[in-house]
Amino acid sequence: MTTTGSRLDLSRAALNDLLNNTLDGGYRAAAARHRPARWFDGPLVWLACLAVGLLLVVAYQQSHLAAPARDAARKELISRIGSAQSTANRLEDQAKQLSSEVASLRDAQLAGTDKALRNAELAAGSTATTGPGMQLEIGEPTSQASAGNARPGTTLTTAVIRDTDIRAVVNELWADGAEAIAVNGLRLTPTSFIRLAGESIQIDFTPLTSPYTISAIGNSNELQVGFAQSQIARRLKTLAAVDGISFRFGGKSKLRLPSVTVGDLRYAEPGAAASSAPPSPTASPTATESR
Amino acid sequence: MIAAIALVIGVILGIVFRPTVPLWIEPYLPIAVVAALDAVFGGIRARLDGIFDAKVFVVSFISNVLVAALIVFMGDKLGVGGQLSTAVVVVLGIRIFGNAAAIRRHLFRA
Repeated sequence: MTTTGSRLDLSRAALNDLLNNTLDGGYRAAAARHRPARWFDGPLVWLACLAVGLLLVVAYQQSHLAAPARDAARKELISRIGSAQSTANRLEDQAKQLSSEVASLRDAQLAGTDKALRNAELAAGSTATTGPGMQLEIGEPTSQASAGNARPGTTLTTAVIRDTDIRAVVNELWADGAEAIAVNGLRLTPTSFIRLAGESIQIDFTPLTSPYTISAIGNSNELQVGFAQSQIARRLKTLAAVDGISFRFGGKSKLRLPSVTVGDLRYAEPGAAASSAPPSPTASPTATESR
Repeated sequence: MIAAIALVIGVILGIVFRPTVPLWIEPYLPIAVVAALDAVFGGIRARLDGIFDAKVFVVSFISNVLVAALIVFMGDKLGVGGQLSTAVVVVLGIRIFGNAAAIRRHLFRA
């Protein structure tokens, strides 16, 4: 007990000393010694004060003037990202143009139009397509706009619509007989994926932003009826009522879906009986990736 | 008075010449500033108490800055740099406040 008591006294004394004896002990000791003033006392103090002033300014400059440099580096990085993206877009356009050129050359070579080939291309999403169908639009609640002006770098965790919702809608549309689907103008192919990366929904590595417009080509009535009766439609209606997302869908007499460049297939090879039946879109990985 | 002029000259020198400090010193600058302020306030109070001593002032200034930097350096090496910085700032902050209160009492008798 005595040891803890003395330790307590010690810490109490230390705290008292810290709080009440704020002056450096050296001053009192020096004053008690009555040392006579020397000639270098003045310059010494002068130099020390100079050093203090210098230190203050240097510290200020380091903490405040270094910020613009960081900002400039950030801007530089952003501009580099922008130029890389525009290069990618240009290359994508070029690839599309070249593939359409290839298609027209092939059509010129092949006698007549090969129906099976056409269907396969359509199913693969490598040709632009038009037709009737339905379109639905899902948007994050408008209060999202106020959360959008948060500090840059902070992630928004308030997103109501998840990748699973978009995926469920797409799967439902395939199941209702859609023949081609695009989300926000991105055509879905048999190798497309819809997933969440960070806080954004991505399709084939391209991030989407709300509102999400999903267009499907197929029998307009069948698609609408099938979708309206589906579970995901009920869920979206609930989300619209509870969380305030915008959700509407309707038939369209004419939809135009863009094409995408399909990457090289490295492992899959055409089977012997491939030409007999075109691959149905419902067999796509997107569809099999159901909840 | 002379000391205040020296401080202003130091500030002006810093603004004019913009000395560049090595990158490894940068983390210790804020702590060094707090330590220097502690020495300055201690000196002003000693002056008002009439027991100012140039040697004590200079030595306390240099040792304060060095020890504060050393503690933060050690903390960084041990992985508790943030906590030790806080400790240094708390202790020096208490001293600065105490000295500032003493100076206030001297100047305004309140």
